[in-house]
Amino acid sequence: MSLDTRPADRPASTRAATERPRVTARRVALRRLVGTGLVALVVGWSLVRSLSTDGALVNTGGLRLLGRLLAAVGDPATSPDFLRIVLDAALTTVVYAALGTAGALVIGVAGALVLSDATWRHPPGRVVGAIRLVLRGMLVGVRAIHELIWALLFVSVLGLDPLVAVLAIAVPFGAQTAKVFAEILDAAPRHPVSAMRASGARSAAALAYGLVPAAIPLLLSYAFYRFECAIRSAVVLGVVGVGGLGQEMVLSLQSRNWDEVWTLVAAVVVLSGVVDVWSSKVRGDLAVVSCSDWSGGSTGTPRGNRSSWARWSAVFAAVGLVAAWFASGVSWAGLVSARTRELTVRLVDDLLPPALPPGGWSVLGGATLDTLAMAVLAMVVAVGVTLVVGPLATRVRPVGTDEGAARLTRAPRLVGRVGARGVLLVLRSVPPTVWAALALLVLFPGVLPGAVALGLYTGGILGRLVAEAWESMDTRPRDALRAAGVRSGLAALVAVLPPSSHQLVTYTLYRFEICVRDTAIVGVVGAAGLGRLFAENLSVFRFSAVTTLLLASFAVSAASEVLGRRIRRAISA
Amino acid sequence: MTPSLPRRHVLIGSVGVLALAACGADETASPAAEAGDGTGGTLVISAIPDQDPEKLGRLYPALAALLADATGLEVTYQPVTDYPAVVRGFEVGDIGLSWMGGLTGVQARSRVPGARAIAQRDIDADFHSVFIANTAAGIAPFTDAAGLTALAGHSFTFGSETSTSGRLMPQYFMEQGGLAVADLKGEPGFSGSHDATVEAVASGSFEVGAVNEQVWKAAQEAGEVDLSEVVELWRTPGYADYHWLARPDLDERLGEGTTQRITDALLALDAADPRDAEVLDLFGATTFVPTENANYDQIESVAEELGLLA
Repeated sequence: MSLDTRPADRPASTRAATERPRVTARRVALRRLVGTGLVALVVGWSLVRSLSTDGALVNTGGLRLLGRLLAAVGDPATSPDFLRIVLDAALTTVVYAALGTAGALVIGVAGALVLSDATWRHPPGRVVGAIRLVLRGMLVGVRAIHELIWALLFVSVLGLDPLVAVLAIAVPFGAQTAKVFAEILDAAPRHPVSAMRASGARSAAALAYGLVPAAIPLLLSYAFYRFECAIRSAVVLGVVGVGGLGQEMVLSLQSRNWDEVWTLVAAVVVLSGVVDVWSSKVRGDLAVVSCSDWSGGSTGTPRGNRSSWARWSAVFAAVGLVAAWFASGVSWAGLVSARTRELTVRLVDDLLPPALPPGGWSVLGGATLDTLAMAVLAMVVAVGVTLVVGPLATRVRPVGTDEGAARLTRAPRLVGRVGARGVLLVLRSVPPTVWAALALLVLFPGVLPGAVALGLYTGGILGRLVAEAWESMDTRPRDALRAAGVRSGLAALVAVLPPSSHQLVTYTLYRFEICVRDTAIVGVVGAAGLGRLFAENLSVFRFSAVTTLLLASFAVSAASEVLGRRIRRAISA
Repeated sequence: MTPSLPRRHVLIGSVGVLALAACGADETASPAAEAGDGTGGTLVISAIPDQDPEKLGRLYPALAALLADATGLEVTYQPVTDYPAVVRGFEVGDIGLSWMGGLTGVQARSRVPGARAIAQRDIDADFHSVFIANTAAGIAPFTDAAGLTALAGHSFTFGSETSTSGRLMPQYFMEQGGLAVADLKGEPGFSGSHDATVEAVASGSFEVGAVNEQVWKAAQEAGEVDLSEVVELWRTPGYADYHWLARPDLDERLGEGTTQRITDALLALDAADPRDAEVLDLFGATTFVPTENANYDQIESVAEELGLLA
């Protein structure tokens, strides 16, 4: 946490855009000081909040179980029967992820057609404007609720239908996709479509041939990114009991069959690793864009070169999707059956009107603060992981002058890098629910185990994002300094530290927004915060309180998203 | 702009795939719809996962086979991973007959009016929880609820959150005995099942735990877990617990008299018959006996008192 360009930059830099006051070194230092102070304050508060329970925090008795679990790592379950179960579960997870992504794309395309300005022939009138406003609000609301929570709600209406997993991924991902797709379409060059319209082409044709071709690389790139995320979500959703690797993990953890847990962890890591590599290759070929860009509202630029890898991947994905559909046995019948209609009416009836959970405002407020403290501490853990593992995972471009030295250190560096990337892959592939189950072995339920679990998981993601950003950093300033005779350590400090810490801060803020939403997952398995309260009330079917908790989670994630995005935009200005 | 031929291919390709997928939807709709109905000619049974999944996996398929033979119905067992999910499955109709705990049964009946408790084990009318401790905790056995105050300052785990014998009644007796949850060391854990509680206490992960007496006895007999460091502190007074709960629409879906036939089949399980005896043994019972909804009124009022009912 010491490399800081801190959020306090914001007010000054917005002002800079308008009146450009002189930015002195002292001013910059002051801003950073204030920013660092604010962050320290927030982190300090979170620590105090998580540590100041009346009782004990660390359950020393659990260490023995944890030891037993770790001891089983060398002896994973490998009986053919169990491996068959694992393979089946892995296929189920892939199928859910693929169909969920496909559903998200359908929702995304439909939403983007309405939300994008580029798709309308005339500037939209008041009616369309009103529809859009409502739609935007709905999309924000939908994606502020975690997939797992959606799954729990869908289960109440559909039962244990595979459709639950597909919809729980498709709905929130679709809302996110609609927003990003609309931005991509709006950023695409407008002249071709205007020209076609002017020459009398019908709307659909004008869009299909004038607008979509320019946007396709970015659209596809985002689609693959979504699939990558969907794999992880599909694993997490296993907790609900709809099948896949996540459910097998829960079952093995429940039975304390540690050898099986390790086999499943290995399966999840391999699956997630393969999809990550495939997807980043496709995305890299298609467009220059990162996950943070997607969420920050910038859409990246398509690459000019055509990649056969990306093309074949798209074809493969399309064929795979059809296969997935038939393999899954998912049917829409559950959506339109009379029973579903009846149960939906009943659920809505149960959910309304909202009421406070038992304990009233103090319980609700306390859980909200717990959620925030958990997210902040999780980010502290994640940044810690990133600072330790990130530099090792980054490919350092050697400076021109000491090629020999670079060659000498190449092998150990390579080993270090592969190892570090492996660690990050494991951290982000194992679902946070499983991290939480492990944390709960040695920590009493509360904010702390949730923060540790989420922090490890987020660390895996943040470390990767930041390492990739560091790799693409411009090293010319450093090289120039060194060429001018500055000592290498100093050159790196001056030329590399500021931009790399800036990237770390940007991505940390981005992941913080997601982390707030993710607290729901660890809450469901028994940590603390709004997610915990949600699970408690849902398990006794107190739906009116569930509604209140949904609204509170929505408010918290929307607020953190708005705040996070503002700060990010300000410091990138 | 770069040439757009491949893009167009991709575009046309994806439209084609969507069309295919749409056709697929129509073709697969009907058979899956029947399966989705859950009980289209089939009786789906389930149970709260109060023990290790593999034990449930031995017990319930065996029982399903017995029920199928006795009633002529097709009977399948649907494994479920947590307590509320069983109630939800029962509510939406995916599960027609379910082995419920006292509390989950009350919850399910409030969600499904007309659902009926049809049978319980001989041991369920007067069921007990047991407080167990790791010897390292240094707590001596006691003889009444007031003795529970000795647990203050020790770490403690319940079973599942909506377990009757692993949470509801233990918490009730703790309040009766004058021990507040806040007096414990740290927050209480929720192990998820009785087997998990036994192992958590045996390994010292939690110093004290509350388990259902039948699972505790079975664990002692099975000897799979090293219990040399576990002491039984106190056996609670009795209360009514587990039972088979049937949906009100079983007769309508599976034919007149189905509920009665299932009830008869359960009550007819005979410890003298080796096949029946095996299942009864896994249940920790010698026979099933009739029961009725009113037997769980006490559970309902306790649950209400502890805020575990909506």
